[in-house]
Amino acid sequence: MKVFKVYFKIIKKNLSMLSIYIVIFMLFALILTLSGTGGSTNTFSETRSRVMIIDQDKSSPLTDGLIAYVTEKSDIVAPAKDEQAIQDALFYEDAVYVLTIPQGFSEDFLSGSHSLSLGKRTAPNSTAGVQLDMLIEKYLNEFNLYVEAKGIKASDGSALTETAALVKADLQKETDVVWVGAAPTSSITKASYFFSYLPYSLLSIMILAISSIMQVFSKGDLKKRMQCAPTPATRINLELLLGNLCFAVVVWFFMMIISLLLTGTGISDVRMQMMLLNAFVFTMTALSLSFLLGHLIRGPGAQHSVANVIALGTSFISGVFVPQALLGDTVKYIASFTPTYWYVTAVGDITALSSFSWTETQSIYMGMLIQLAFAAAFVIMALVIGRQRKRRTV
Amino acid sequence: MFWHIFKYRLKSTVRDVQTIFWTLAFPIILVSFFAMAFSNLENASVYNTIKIGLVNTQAYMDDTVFQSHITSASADKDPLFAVTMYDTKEQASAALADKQISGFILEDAALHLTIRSTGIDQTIMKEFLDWYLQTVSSVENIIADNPAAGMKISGILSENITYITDTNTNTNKPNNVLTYYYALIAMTCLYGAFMGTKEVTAVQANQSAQAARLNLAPVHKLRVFLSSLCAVTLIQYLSILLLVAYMALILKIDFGNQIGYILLASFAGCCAGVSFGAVVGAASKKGEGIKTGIIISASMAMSFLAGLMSAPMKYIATKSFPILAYINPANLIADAFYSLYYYNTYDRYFLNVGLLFAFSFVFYVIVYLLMRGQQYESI
Repeated sequence: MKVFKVYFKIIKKNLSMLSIYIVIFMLFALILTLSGTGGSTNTFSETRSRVMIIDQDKSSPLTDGLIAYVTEKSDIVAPAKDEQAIQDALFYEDAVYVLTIPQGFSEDFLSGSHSLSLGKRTAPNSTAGVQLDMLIEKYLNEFNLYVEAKGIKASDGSALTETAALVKADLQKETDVVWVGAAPTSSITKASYFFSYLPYSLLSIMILAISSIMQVFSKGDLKKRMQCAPTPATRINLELLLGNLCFAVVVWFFMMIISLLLTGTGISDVRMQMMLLNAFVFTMTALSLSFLLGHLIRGPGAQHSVANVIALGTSFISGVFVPQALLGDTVKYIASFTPTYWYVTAVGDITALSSFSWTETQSIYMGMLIQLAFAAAFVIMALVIGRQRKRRTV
Repeated sequence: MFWHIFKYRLKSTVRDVQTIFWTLAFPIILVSFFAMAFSNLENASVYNTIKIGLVNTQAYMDDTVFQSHITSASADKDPLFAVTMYDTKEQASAALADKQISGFILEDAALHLTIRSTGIDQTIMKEFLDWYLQTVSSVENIIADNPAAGMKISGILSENITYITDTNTNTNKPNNVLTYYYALIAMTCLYGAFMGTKEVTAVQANQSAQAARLNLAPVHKLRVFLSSLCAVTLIQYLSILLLVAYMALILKIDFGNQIGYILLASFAGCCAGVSFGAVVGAASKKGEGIKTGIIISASMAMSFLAGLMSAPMKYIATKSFPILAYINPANLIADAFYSLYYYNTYDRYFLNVGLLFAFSFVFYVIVYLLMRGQQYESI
């Protein structure tokens, strides 16, 4: 087990570099989880967005009702003074939606000509924009329905007030939502955030660390000396792999502790156990991929680029940063050739689990098996390459 | 002398296939991944048809109004829903568990939507049903008030009135996706740090054999250093320009159309990146592994805060720690591009670019102070 021992000596020597990687990439996953932005899960309930209303029209039951409705559904920020301030507010997301009610809007609306429309400006986060558009249009459509069906005149103040009250009551109506099993608890939702972001951090750590360590073994004289030894290449490789395995388990264990502390979920939670199992499987896949890359990467400095292309690239197309539901079919098809895709799919499925019957969990275990198949393929390729490299004349 | 060293450093960097490949090819590969992931986001209005289940209850069969709504939502060429009918609730539940449908509707005295996970599909289903309930409520009110008015209702509902218009006065709309792309440029600029470190290593006699030889030459060390820095900055700049050209011309990413300002922002980013690497190289006497570790971690952390992995992170970071907007080089680079795209005025752009140059200057002053008068008695 000489190679195995050397492996740990190298780790000891490079501990500061390795811990930089581990800490920084774990920090990314932590911050993303805590801020709860993006990610592969979407909240079902409507989120409250920050809205700025610039009301240039005179007060009327229509505009008052609209403003009250928008206020009820979102957080209102004070109107900005000038054009530059509005642009800044949008830029910094102080307000994600600026609604302008032009002068004479009520009158025009009630006359039925609809030549004036509300002005809107949205901030980068477009989902909030779509949601607010729907909200406002819904209100105005309802109001318009009453006005036209009843033939209400703009001058009829009491009828308008009554209509505003009716619209308000109508819009309170909501569909009864029934959850199969239990609705996801907040801790498992939080855990799903953390585990969705994990592939990026894990892949980065594994590729950076393992290829850095493996490079020591493939450097000039050391490699030549090792080749003189009567140890078969496959044995050297397997011992290396064993060393890597220990490293991977330590990283996984470290991450498991963080996830438990962060989400406040007990280890007894079956979903959490499945998350951890899934993460373990992915760690093994990341390990074998890194092992293969360790054989392929030549020259110092290359590993960080490889780590980035693979970690960031696969994360983006597999739905780590952009929800899978938003990805196109072609992209998803391409992504299904990466283990990350199957990992992220499994995280989504685990979060949505309502029971733990075989029919429900089957697809999750299938996803894990596919990841393991990837892992096996990577290791075999690495061993073959390792053998071929040795056979080459020095 | 200057041009001599400049020329040879240029040659040696260009011939370093590894460096060139990674400064050039790697961002292009990565940006292609981005483009793939975002290809569907740009036209997010193209929703997939949602598979929905319906339990064939007595209440549903009697409710012709709801039936016609469901039919109209599932009848178009590109329908919102694909409806599957189930005779019993159990069958629908089984289909839901099996993921054949995203949710199912059961109507008895009221409407019930059964789902098992959260997501866009589920939100749309609920919105649709809410809207239906609210409209029905209005219609009932109107008919109760005046049965004759009921005739007009379907006509009014089918009117297509534009209530809201987009009044962005700027030439360009805010665009979240661009934050990712601009943060990627920022990251690539900061990766110039690897070259900066390399050049420092190449003139410090205790760090490389080549530098030891160079130190014997009767030339001012800073002069050597200056010309080699110019060489790598030039290479880094050219590769950034290639990246920007690839993004603008092939991936059709919007940069606005002020080419001169884009060139300046890219240059400011390059200088900041290379000088940052020089500081790391000069300050740390540790091995290459540690330097690489520091550079990669720092540049990824800065790019992360500039929105590389999650665009809202840029805003969260800026809002939580406003000072970050001014001291994080990655944010300055990304922000320079973004303000160029977004604002009509150049105030913000020049603030960003100015700060980037100021940072480069400060970094180089630090490098100078660190490297000045270093003597090597024995190495």
